Amino acid sequence: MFPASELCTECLSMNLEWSQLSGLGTVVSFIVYHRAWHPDFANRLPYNVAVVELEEGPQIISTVIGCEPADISVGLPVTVVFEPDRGAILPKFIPRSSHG
Amino acid sequence: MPEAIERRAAILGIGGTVQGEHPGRSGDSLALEAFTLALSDSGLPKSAIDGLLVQESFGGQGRFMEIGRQLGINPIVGSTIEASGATCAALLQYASLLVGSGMANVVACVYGTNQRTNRNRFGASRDEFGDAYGMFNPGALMALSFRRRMALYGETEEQLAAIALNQRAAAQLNPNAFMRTPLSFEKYMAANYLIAPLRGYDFCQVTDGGFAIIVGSVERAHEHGRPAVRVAGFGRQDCLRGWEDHESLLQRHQQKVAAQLYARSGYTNADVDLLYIQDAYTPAVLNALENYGFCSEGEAAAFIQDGRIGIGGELPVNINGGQTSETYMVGWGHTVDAVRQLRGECGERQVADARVAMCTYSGGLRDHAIAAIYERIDG
Repeated sequence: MFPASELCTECLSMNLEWSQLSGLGTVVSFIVYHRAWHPDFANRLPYNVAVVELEEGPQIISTVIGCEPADISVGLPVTVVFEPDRGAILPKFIPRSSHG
Repeated sequence: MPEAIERRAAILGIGGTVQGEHPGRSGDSLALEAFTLALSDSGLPKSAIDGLLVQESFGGQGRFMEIGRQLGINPIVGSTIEASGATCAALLQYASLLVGSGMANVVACVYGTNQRTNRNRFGASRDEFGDAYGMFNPGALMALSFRRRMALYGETEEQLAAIALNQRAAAQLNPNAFMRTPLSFEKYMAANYLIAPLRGYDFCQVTDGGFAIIVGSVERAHEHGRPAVRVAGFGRQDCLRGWEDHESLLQRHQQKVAAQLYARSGYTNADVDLLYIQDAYTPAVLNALENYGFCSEGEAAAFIQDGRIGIGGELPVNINGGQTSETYMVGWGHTVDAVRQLRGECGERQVADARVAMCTYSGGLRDHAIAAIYERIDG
């Protein structure tokens, strides 16, 4: 589920576990920032934020990398990559056709 | 169904400070001033107020006990309420319940903020789940919503312009509006993207100001001798796990609010003479028009063209100027303007024969959705 909760919102069980997903998804929507509201992002302008619907169902927030902003579209099939970003590892997505 | 209890409530008084910039004034000070204006408008003595509901405000302001203490009111019911951007409606809904139940007689609802001159950096607000990706600014979700609309329905940025243009034109006739400089289509399109697909004029400007609304019984509303405005009904639907409700990106849970509201009020959208849609960002107007039944799914961008939503149009929308041009006061400005229109006080920008006004309110894109219908009743 996304966002995470301490209990299952369906059955209210507090016995939750992590599961492995396929990493495949589709872009539901995306936006492109032309102004940086935080200094960490000032040198990344313009940058995109995307909502990706995973093959397994949940929608998550992420970003699409590895292509030009003009190549991002609603409905674009994507696959996850895990990228270092300011000391953390973040899931990001690349267009699936470039995955090979 | 039994009669909706909120229908026993009426708007006895409204008050608003000048909107815009108030350097040196606290949010509470503006709330207190608004209260005095609303009380004067009601014609009631302060001793008649036995309920107090306060909207939480930036910087620790808007605390029920402090406001009550400053006013010198000892309520029998009351609280600070927080429902983010939909708090105005939440206060009015609860006030209507308190009056309708007989638990209180006259409930004052107040809000004041100095968020502009104190530079509350709304823009830098973080999304709990998106900030790692730079998803700042509360406009991000509405931008995502409009992008999806563009993909699903073929709507364009040029069509979206009609909202900002309509509202700025309306604001130019409204002495209470903060943003009144003329806005043309060319100027709108030339403005930089802030969060594409949204441009600068799609975002409201943060403002300082205060508003107060006094709620009492319908019987009491007739004592004043001017057209009375009563609550015809309320509806509310929260959506607190928005990422799990895929339809909520287009605010489709508003349809549940519409169903409640029309059932409780006995009205449908066809009865609405004027409509106020809470609009921190312009695409809110598109989603609400569809979800509340004013046009079909996918038709909203076409619906708003050609003056249909202007003062003389088929369905006047946000003719106070909306939050993009009147004031960013999260539903209060819309509600107060609706009451003024229903009373027939608006002079050159009066909508002819305005009897039924609907206001839609939202907290976040989808956390809270509330809507109300207010109506004029004579005699």
